[in-house]
Amino acid sequence: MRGEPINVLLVEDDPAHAEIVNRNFETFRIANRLLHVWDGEEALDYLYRRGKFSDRQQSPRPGVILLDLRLPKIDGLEVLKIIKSDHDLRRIPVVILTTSASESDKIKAYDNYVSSYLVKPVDYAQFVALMQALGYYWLVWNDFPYERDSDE
Amino acid sequence: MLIFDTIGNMAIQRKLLLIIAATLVVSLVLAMVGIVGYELSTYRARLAQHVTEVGSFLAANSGPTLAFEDAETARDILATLKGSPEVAFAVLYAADGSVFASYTRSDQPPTSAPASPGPPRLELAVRHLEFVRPVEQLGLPLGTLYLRADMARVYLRLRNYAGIVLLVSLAIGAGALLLQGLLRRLISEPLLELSGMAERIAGGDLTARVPVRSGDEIGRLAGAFNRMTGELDRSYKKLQESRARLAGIVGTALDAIITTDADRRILLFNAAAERMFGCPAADAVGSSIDRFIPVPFQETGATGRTAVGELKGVRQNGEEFPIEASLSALETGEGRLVTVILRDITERKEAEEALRASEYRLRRAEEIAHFGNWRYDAATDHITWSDETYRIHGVTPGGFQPTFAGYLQFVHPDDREHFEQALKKLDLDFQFRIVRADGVLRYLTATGEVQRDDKGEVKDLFGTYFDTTELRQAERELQEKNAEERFTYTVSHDLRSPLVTVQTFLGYLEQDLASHDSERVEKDIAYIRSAAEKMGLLLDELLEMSRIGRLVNPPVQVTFHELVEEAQLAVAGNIAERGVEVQVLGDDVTLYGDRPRLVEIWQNLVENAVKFMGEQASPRIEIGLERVSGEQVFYVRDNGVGIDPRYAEKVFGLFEKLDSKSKGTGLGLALVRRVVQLYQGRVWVESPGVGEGACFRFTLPAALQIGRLEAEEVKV
Repeated sequence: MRGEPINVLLVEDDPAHAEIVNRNFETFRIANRLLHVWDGEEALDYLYRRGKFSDRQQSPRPGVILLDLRLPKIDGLEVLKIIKSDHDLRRIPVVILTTSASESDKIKAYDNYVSSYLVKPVDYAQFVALMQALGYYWLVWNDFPYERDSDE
Repeated sequence: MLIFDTIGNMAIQRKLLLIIAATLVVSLVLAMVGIVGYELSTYRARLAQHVTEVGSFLAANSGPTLAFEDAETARDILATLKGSPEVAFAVLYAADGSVFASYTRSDQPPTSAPASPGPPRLELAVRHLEFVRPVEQLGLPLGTLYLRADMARVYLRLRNYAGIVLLVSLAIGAGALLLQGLLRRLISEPLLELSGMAERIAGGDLTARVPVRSGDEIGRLAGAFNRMTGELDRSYKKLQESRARLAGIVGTALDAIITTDADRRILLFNAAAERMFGCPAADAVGSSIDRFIPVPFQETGATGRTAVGELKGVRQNGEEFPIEASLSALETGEGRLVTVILRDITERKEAEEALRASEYRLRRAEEIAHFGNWRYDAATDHITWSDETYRIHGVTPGGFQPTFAGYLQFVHPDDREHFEQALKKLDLDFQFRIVRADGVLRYLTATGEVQRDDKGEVKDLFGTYFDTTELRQAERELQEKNAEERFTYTVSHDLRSPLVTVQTFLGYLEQDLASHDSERVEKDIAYIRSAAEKMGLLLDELLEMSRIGRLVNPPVQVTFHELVEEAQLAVAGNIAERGVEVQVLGDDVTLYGDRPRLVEIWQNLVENAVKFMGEQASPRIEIGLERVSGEQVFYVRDNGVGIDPRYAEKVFGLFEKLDSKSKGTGLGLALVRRVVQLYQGRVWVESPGVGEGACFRFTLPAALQIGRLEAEEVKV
């Protein structure tokens, strides 16, 4: 735990689901910055600071990535693979947040060194509880190595 | 003739001497005979003349002595005859016939004179000469003179001549003896050398040579002799070498070699024969060949080599085995010799058997795997097929002879160009379709290799046909099964997503209603409504999707233009709304299949094109048909937003959308792919990039088949 807040990158194509995550951050007064991108291509552009994400102040390096699996253009599993095969990005914990409870998706995700796999609950209370636990676990209790931005 | 035999056996040297001496003596004797003949004939004439002269003189001078009866003087006169040694004696007769005086040469015995001188004469006898002349004086007969001369002097001379001849002959003899040495050196010795050498050669020494000492006949003879000996030596050595070679060959030959005489008794039994029959040569030689080859092989009677074929051999231990034989017969001074060359073909027979078995297995394997092989021999222009290859083509091995040109008849008309080009390029790894004689369509994969001779010319082509029809069917089923799985997965995930939204925002709605946050309430309701709508859409499309696999309308004939027209009608609203200009290009063509489903292809593609027109001011869609390398390719081209080439494949995925904010569920293109695959086609999209428009292309080979065969193919 350190003073500097951890930035969270949310990769979510469904605006409703993005809204849910956003609301939970507000509810639990999570001061960390939530950065939202819509698909896999955008996620990679953000991480590699391409195009509209080239400004480091606007697009800081995330401490945790919340990743959906079914994404337009480049799907979540592909994004995960790219992150984990990059020697600089691979230390960023990736948490899968998806509606898919499929066995093959879970196996593929863990095979590719995912940090956690969470299935979106089809219940308001559960979803809220999950988001609360997720916030405390990753943003309060979990410790991270001190990371400088790659081009600092 | 004894004498000639004797001479004939003499040494040449002696013969030569004899001939030389005889020649000399004969010529000497002939010369002497000539001289003696001449001497004898001239001497007689001279003697007669001499006696006549002496007689006449005596007769003239003895007249007075008779007249005066002076016997003393008469004797003196007669004594003058001492000067004439030819006269042996002389008598002077008185007129009364009595002896008046006489003369006898000293060497003569005192012979009495003849009683009467006889009539006057000059008589030449062989050995003597008588001269009688009357002595007269003044015409009065006073008496008679008788002279008798002999040949003594002649004979004396002849004796002298004989002596000379003898002496000369002796001298010749001596000379001949002297010559003997020379002759020996010049003639005898070289000849003796030659004869000595001949004897050495006869004794086996072929290195013997004679020195050539002269250029005469003997020298030439010696030269010729040496050449002959050299030739003899070389041929002998060659003969020995070839004999040694033959012995080597016979000894080391892998084939058994046995020579028999006319009675089939073994004369020669080589090492290979010993091994083959397990019998030492010492035991075999002399016995009948029948113990090894019991069934007598056919003797052709002709000399030379003939193949006998397969025989049964029997080893010493009684084991029987197959042999292959060839034999050669030779007529020699000692009778007919037959040589048989035998080869143990046990292994070959086994190999043949194994080959037959493996050929059978190959045939079976090909049959099971639908795998046929073929071979094209460039030299004979002959094509060989395996049984399975015939079966694949629906013909029987006996009833059909494959040819290069005839094969094209099998190839599907649309694949012929491709097929010919592949063969021309010797690219022996390609796929094509055939239409069997019974009209059944088969998919074949041909692979092969080119075999070239030393000069790099194509010798033959060899390869396989793999009938992939069933495999493709299975693949398609598998693909469909995978799609099925993907479908259920997608449904569970994508239906869950709006459900999560509905449930969660219902929770928020409850909260927000309690806190009277009307702004949030409105938002919550909007999210719920949107999710519910999405679910409705998804369910509709799922229903549509499930139809693709399950609902089958009976296949009908329909043209390309008819299908396009129907599709355009279905999306006429969208087209009109966006103001899109639609153009149909290319030839018309007849298809055969499930009409509503075929329509869906164009319908979805046009709908998709209209949806992604973007900001295009003059939107245009072009629908057509092209021939690309022998294949009929349909296309739908637009000038809309286009597609990033990276996602060209992903667009056909079920529920895949490139733009998360666009309407729809991402089902349209997945549906198109599904239908295209049902007709064994492919669908792909070409786009230079975002903003550059897109062109969707697809093939429908099974729908384009001629005849009704596709009815079975299409049935899923």
